[in-house]
Amino acid sequence: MGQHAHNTHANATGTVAALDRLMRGVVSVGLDVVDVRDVETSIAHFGERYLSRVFTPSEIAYATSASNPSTMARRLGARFAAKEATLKALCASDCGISPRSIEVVRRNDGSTELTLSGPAFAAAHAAGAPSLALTMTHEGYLAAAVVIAHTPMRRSRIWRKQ
Amino acid sequence: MNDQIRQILKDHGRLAVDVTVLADDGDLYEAGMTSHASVNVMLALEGTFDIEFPDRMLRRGVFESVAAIAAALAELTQKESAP
Repeated sequence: MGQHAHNTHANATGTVAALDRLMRGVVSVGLDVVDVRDVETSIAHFGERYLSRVFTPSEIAYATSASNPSTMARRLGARFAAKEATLKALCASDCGISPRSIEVVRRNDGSTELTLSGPAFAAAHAAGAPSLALTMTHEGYLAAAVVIAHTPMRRSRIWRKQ
Repeated sequence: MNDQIRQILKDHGRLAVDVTVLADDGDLYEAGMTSHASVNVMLALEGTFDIEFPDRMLRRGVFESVAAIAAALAELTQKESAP
């Protein structure tokens, strides 16, 4: 076996080992997609009532700081997808959890994380997944989010809201 | 009540099928209702029936069929009218 082949094999083995370590902590995964036009329609029909029933004050403040309505709807759509993806990851869609108890929080560096409170916090612990990793995206009329529920890892803790 | 529910589903449910031919126990999610659309249905129900769904009722099962919605509304309107 040549040196190149040896190094390739060693790298592959290391990657598999790293993935194995990661996947051992993964409990489940949730994915959700939202049509941003539906969010625009909801705002038009229900206005503040829609916003306040689904989103937290911080989420609304961030979304409404956008310079135009389309950006606001994309931000809200991605956050709605994150809430649904969280419920799916925790298998908690039928647990009576308010979407406001699942909050997408922006860090200073622009990255995002989830903060759970009340029944959502309890559901995460009951599922054996007190840590959640989140990624969101939007493209055109679609906003999407993936949530990975896993056992505790650094930089992906969830906090109980006081 | 079921006719009002069907009208709300027609207006806000984003169903892929004709709600008038859907059975009372037909699965609304299988009929195309998204989780986001179910929020709109909930808000429209609250406006029409002058009730508010408590957090404990924000469950997928509560909005999965016309019959399930009717049962939830019966529970809520009964509480509203109780002395």
